[in-house]
Amino acid sequence: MYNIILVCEHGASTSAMVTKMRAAAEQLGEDCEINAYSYSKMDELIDSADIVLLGPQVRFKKKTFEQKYADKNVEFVLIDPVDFGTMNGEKVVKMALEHLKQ
Amino acid sequence: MSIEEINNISFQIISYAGDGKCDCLEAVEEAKEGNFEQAEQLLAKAEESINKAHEVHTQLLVEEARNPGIQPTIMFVHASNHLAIAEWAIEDCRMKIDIYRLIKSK
Repeated sequence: MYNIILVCEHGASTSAMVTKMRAAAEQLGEDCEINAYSYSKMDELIDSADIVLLGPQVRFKKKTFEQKYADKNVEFVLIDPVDFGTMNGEKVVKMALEHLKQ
Repeated sequence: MSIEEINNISFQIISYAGDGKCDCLEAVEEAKEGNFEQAEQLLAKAEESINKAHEVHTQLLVEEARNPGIQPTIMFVHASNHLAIAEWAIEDCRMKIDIYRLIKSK
């Protein structure tokens, strides 16, 4: 099972994305744990994460996280702003799975 | 206008405004390195995104003017906050880039 973590400023708007992604994952028959948090909780989240998806509003944290958690073997991936704006959960979950199965 | 419609507009605002804010922050990073041309390009891109967020936000204000009584959602309030931050970010980052330009020209 994959543990997919979404982060934004407060984990508010990404929570709506989580709902859409869970539904899409279920339809695809993929066993995923998907949750949203504030990026400030990253220290607590990183060890259990298989992949971290960043909302467009926290894109500026990507480089910092990649440097800070370089030894963790977790990929930080940006959510496309159009997919985020349209809440396209299916596209985002497919994108995450593609990265995870690489 | 339904709650879902208002929230869909809110997500667009958050996405455009958030994307624009990040471009602003990256522009300052470029200016710090003396790459002023890249900084200006990023600011232009930020302005475009933030303008889009503003346009979507205005749509809802116009809709309310036409049909008073629309109930704002928590997500819309949150989106308005993102937009306000982005609008300030572009002004603030522009000033910071000017300061870097001044420092680097000395």
